[in-house]
Amino acid sequence: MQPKMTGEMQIILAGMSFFGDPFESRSGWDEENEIGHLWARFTSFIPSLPSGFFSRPDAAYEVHIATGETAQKGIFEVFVGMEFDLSMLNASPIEFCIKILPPVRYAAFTFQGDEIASDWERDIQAWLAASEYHSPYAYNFQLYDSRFKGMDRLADSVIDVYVPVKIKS
Amino acid sequence: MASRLESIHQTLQFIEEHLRDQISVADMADHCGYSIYHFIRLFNHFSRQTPYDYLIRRRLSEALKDLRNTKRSITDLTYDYCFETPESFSRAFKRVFGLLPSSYRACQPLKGCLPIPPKSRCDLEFAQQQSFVQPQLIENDEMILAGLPLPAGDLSQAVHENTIDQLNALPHPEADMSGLFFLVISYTDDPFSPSYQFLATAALDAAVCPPVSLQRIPSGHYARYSYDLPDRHSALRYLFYTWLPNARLTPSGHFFIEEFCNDQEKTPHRAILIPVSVE
Repeated sequence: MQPKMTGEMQIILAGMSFFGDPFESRSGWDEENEIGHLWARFTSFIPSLPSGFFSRPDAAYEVHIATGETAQKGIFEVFVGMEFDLSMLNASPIEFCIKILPPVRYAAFTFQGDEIASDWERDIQAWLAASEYHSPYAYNFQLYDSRFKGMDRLADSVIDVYVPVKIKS
Repeated sequence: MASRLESIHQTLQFIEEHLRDQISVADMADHCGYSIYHFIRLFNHFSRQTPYDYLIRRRLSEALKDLRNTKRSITDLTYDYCFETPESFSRAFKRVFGLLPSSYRACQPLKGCLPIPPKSRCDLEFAQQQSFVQPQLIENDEMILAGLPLPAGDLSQAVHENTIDQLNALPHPEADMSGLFFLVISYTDDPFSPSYQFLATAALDAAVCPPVSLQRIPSGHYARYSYDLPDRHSALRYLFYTWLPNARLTPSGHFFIEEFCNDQEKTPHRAILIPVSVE
């Protein structure tokens, strides 16, 4: 499992968050859990947004952010959104928040088919431990674009997982 | 599937061994070799409960037993079960059981959820069955039932059939109520240790004379769960120990009802109904 390394990039996203254990209601790789509900809430807003609101409308992001409570209680933040230019801030609906991911390099891992529902987090942690990199921030994100065909067609789908990295000192 | 279920079963054992130790959800994930995110997803999938919620409820359930069975102070129990302060322990205890630890020690009855026993492998397997469906929250009208008491603990088919014959002879208020029976099970603390059982049917009041007696079943909200007979025990455990706490519902009475219809001309079914408080 070898990732593609990106240059330093800063990503600004507009979207919506959930905080807690998103699988409390349902845990399958389907849309009937809090992450699925979050996506549904987010996408329901898209038609009402002004044209050009998102700067990259062909890709959507699902960011998982660990907090001080994640290890202890298993709760974390999930943010879903799309790339956004801060010049559009005044057009952002009250239900949205803006997530500014820090300028950093990323290790980008590609997963397809059954791999999407596997424990790729563990594989990424194992890769990091053996690599010259560490992850300086407690988040990663999944990038969904035209290669992703939907939760009911995981076998035909591809996603990228981006992990922020810095060289170990 | 089997190995993932086994991993979660082993995690349940790990939790039992460490109820009095400072363990985190990350420790549970480490124990079974998954990342924390994958572990949370799997634990919810197999146990239908979040790992942290399960850990806290198990700790509180053991603390509850110790309150009655030992002389450990509330402060001691706070630290025995890894709560930060006696206040946070009391708040959590009251949120789950509906009363303060001091009140419970003073022999007041629980007003909230029941204490939960450790989940078993059977519990995990039950929730993974193809036929598994979630219970429903329904509103029931008041029912007046006519029936006969059964000896506590004796649910033998012979006793059932003899009682059912007597009840079948009663005239029913509506044709579609005939063949439909209700086993009303009363309990003190533990629904698996009934204190009184009443096998009944809906019958015309006027037709009732001793030894048949009447029992009023109050109107209100009920958790209703249809099940197959071999799954009765697991279905009850799931309802009382997982579904009600997850749904933030508490039993509103010390009884539950098993509804069954053996009439082959109608749709045979069995269902459990638990009265619940809906805030």
